[in-house]
Amino acid sequence: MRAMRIMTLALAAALAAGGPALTAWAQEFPTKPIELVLPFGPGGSHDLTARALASVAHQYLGQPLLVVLKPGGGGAVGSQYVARAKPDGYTIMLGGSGPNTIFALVQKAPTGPDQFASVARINYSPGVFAVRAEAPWKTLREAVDWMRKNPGKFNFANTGPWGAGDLPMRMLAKAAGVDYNNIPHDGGGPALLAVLGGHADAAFLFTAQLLPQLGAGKMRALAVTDVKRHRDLPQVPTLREEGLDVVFNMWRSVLAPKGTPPPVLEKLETAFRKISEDKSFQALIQQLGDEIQFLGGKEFEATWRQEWDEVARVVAGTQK
Amino acid sequence: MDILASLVNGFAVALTPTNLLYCFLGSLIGTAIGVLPGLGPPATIALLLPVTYGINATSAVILLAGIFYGAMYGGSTTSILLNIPGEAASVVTCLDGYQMARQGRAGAALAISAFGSFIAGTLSIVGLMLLAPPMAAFALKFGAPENFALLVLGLMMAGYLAGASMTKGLMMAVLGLLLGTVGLDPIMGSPRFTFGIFKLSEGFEFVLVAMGLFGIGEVLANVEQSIKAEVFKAKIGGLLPNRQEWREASAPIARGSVLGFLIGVLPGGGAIISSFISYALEKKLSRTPERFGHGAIAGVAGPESANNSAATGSFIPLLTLGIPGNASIAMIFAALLIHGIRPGPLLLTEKPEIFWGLVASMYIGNVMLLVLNLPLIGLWVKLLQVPYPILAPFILVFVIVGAYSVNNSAFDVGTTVVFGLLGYVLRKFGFEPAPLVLAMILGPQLEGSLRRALIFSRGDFTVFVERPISAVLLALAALMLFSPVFRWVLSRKFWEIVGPVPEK
Repeated sequence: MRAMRIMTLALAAALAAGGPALTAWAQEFPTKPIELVLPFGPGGSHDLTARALASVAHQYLGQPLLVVLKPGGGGAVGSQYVARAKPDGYTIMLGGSGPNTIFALVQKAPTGPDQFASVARINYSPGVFAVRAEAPWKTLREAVDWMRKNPGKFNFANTGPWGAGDLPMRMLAKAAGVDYNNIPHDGGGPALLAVLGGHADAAFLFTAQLLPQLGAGKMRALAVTDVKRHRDLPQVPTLREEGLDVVFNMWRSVLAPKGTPPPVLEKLETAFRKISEDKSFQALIQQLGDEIQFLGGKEFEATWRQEWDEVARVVAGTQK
Repeated sequence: MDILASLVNGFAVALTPTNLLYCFLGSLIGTAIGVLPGLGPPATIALLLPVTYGINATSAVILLAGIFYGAMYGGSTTSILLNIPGEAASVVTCLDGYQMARQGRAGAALAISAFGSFIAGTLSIVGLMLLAPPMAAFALKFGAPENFALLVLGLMMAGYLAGASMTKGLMMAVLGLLLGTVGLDPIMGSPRFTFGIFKLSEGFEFVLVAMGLFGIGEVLANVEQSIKAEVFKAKIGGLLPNRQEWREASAPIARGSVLGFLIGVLPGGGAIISSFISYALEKKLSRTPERFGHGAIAGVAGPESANNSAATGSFIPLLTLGIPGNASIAMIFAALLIHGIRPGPLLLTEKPEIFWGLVASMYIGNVMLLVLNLPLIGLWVKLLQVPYPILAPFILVFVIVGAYSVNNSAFDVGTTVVFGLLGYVLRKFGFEPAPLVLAMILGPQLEGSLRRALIFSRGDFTVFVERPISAVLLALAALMLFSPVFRWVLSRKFWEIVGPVPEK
């Protein structure tokens, strides 16, 4: 028994030592590998973007960029880990509108724009409002009219409570003043399956999953949440074009702990700007069905705070 | 004969030296991570995703798919030898596999799970090849009410995992359902029983709970009886199953293959649930159900076959609809995306080389896995000759490293240890942890689909009986629930109590 306990302790000690080593940080940033924390599990669009960043980062940072997965709590675990990390630029995160706007507001987690310094936005994905090909609605206006005439009858499949495929619909319904039946699903796949199988009328989905269905004539896209039309869907109007002032994109941005020295932030921003101009990085992102929409730290923070206020109003409206 | 020609083309793709190599690598890595507890196929595939950037799409899919189905082979190894589920889908294999090992039949249990996996794997590829489009159409019929009915049927199986006392088994199932409510509510997203700990908001990780309850619990219980440490020395009989064991295993393998395939195709179904349902089915059909839990080979053969064919079946929604049905398949979906291929309804016609190359490579991979796993059996069995006082600390290290490897989190190690202590206490009081584990997996899904169905129907419960598939599944569940009552009514004893039917 005692031998076992000692072994366990030894192991625990070994594990603890493997954490971030606390070496004095030199003037020439960076002098050691940088941890890019991902507040999600593997395989999602965030993970793929982070790995694409890491694959070319070395030549622009002078040090490797290590992707560290810290999933849990809808992104709260990883976000808090970075928010509390030493603000020396060696622990940064690839944040997103999920953990850093929506869940920060819904769960009141300290992971919003007040807890982070923005480094750069890498890109974003707009949501696409899509219905089954056999559905009677040819345009978004028709669908909204139908919702207006049949309050609460429109079956909407969201991609998880407060997820990327839930919030845009809440905003849409608020803007249009309609009532609908919100059916939660466990992610984009199940939501798409529900619409395809006729168990729901519509969903907000990302293009990577939707394009093959559109190509095969199984689904119909009615609107996108971006300010402009999508590169791959030139015939699909934006929500604004359809008369609803709703814009919501899932962004992916590099964030650092509040208090990171400005020279370090500048260096990081410059490096990520160069990465975003890298040809092989651009090719990888394009294959994921995304575009690069680089935005510097200051500009991004302004859009982030604007989004924050808008979502806060939606959240306040439903939590009463 | 179209299929035959396509398959020949598929083999032409899969038999190129590079693809053979990737197929072998995938099988090898899959077996390894299957044997190691903790780190599962989704995490491994994610780790290796960047490696596939440089190779072509077909090779990438062959490699990653190999890891996925290879893990189903390896997963049973530690379940049988050490009572530690190597993979989530091998939890139920602990029940009888480990008992077989204690009776000196570890070789037979390992061999039957390898053969069962091979047979199920091969049969389900035939299914994938011939039935993919109709099966996909069938899967689309499963909305929330149908899923709910299927899960109710699944939960009925908890009774068959109960062991000696049905009351204790049901108590465990209820505890499992309660533990399953920890985390974010599946419908509203509000946290429940998380006590402000963000780590708990995703609920308890199923692998950690299973490793603790089974693995650590077993070690603690064994250490106590260290005087008679020779538990395994009970002579390690032949390495291969004898004729009697083959006879007992063949029907379960066949049933497990079909069952696993059908459940694997369904969204939210998959290897874990199919293994539990297969176990319960075999116990129900067995002429000697009392032997289950004490080393019945059918209890190893059925579930191990089912989890393999479920793994193959779960490729159908990806390849025909473009929708990944579980975490591992979602990674393979991501790998295809990176190569500029968006899986969807047109994949089969636009990129036939991917579909048929994959199908052909799966035939080859299954043969490789069998060849790879059979010689290892002798080696694994030798492991049991290590004296238990030496083996025990290694098992603990193995479990703790495995727990850490799931999310690189020390919190997870704590979770595993706490559940290990719980497992020890449960063992002391004669509670069987398997129903707890099953209920914990099914609980959140059951709740989600029930509430989803009711939101869909706007609160109308008739939705469950109006829809034919869910009505049939619920009727089956009711039949199972009340079958002891029916049997009792039909038995003579009942009539003795009630008295003769009055004649008039």
